[in-house]
Amino acid sequence: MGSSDAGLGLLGISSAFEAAVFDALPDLVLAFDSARSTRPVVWSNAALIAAIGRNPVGEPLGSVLGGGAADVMDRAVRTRIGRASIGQSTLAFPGGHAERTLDTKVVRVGSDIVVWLATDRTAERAISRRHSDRLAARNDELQRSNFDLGQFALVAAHDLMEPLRMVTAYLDLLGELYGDRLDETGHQYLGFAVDGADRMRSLINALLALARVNGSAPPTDSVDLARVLADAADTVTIPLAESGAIQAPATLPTVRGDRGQLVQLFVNVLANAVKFSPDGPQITVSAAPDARAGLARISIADAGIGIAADKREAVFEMFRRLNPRTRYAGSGMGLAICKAIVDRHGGDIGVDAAPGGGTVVWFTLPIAPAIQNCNEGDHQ
Amino acid sequence: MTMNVLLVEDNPGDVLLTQMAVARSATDTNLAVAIDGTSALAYLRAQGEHSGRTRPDLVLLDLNLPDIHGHDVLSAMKNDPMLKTTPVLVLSSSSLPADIRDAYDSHANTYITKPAAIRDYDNVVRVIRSYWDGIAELPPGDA
Repeated sequence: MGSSDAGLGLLGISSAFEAAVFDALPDLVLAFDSARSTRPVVWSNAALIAAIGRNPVGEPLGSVLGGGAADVMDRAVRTRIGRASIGQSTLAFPGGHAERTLDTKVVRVGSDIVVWLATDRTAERAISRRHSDRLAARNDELQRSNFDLGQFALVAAHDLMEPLRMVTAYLDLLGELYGDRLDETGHQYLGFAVDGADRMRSLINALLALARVNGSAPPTDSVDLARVLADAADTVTIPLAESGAIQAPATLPTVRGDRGQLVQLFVNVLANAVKFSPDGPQITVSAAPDARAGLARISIADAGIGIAADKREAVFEMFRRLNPRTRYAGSGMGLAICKAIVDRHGGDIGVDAAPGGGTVVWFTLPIAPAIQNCNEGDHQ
Repeated sequence: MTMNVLLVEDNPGDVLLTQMAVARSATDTNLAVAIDGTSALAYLRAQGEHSGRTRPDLVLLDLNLPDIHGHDVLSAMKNDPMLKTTPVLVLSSSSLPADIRDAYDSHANTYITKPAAIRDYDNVVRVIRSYWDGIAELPPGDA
């Protein structure tokens, strides 16, 4: 092939079989004499010969590897006999060759002879970079699309409210001005119509809330979750905070987010906890750092009726209700909106069974970057 | 006190609700109705068939009008030295922050989102009357 017998001898390779194996390797392999000042190449395999377009045996290492030779020598010096030094580099073989990305190994096989092996990763790198570029572009598209859908849903929901308002107002008037002319059945029919209109209104309001989240700008303020919890508890049921129905630590993490949306998130979760605890709410709020850096994990547990294991993903769907309307009211949008808010903040959300019955709603939010205090530190 | 109000509204359902609420408020309120922007401005300027009209003390303005947007009626009023002091209460079904901001940007006096229930409509009219009659001073009438 192009390997010299003398070179192979120096490497301790004696059989034609072994020689053939080395030559057949797709990796680029050369051996050089590190004891001589010019570091001459004593052997090179077929792949390297093909890559540089010549047989480099006899040439100084520097003329084969160009600028990369110094690094290889450094590693060779530090490597003991029988050991390998592993690294990565980008290297353009001198002579106008294109740059390659290589995983390299430097092995000292004897007191003088050092072997350099390189696996070419250039093509792989290009493919994976194309993939991640494509992913990034797709992500951008999806974000824009979500935003557009949010804007569209906002306008559509508003347009739907207008005729609905007419239905509600005039059903109302019918009942008020002509109620005495209706028999019991007539009142029942009127009741169904009013109910339908009311339900439609809360569905459209819920859709509007969802659309507003999806159509909003990325959240960037620093928000103290302890204050958010306090505000949410006030909104859900006024006595909730005082009656001891909520247990929470004195402080909660400060996160990067949109204050209004975060209050909405807590309100929806707390409202569910209250609604689905027929014996009175017992809510425990806790926070912990998430396994992933930069995220805080908040858990809100109740002691209520719980959620069946096979429904724990479905609950986050839009309009998803699990109980008959006669037992628990609601549009089925509360958790869908929670999910939209958490998604918008770059976190995750899920439900688990609480130990002892009930539900735990957990979600992760990005921790706010630490604020530089002007009074501390040396220089401004 | 007698109050003259111009309602600019093209939806007959909303016109009726407002008329009903005014009647039920049991106050001395004359409600004139214009069903599009062009006739609203003609009425305000006492043009043509409206030359004998009584000058409105307040204007209730819907934004969704068939010919020109309520926003443009508002701008036209605020750019007209004869009309700009008349308080305009925008009465709109939209609760979009952009619409609210635009109205105040164009110097609307108040923005009210139209209510759905009749008793809320009653309340809106009652509160408007008691505010402009009892608390706020209207701009003095023209010569």
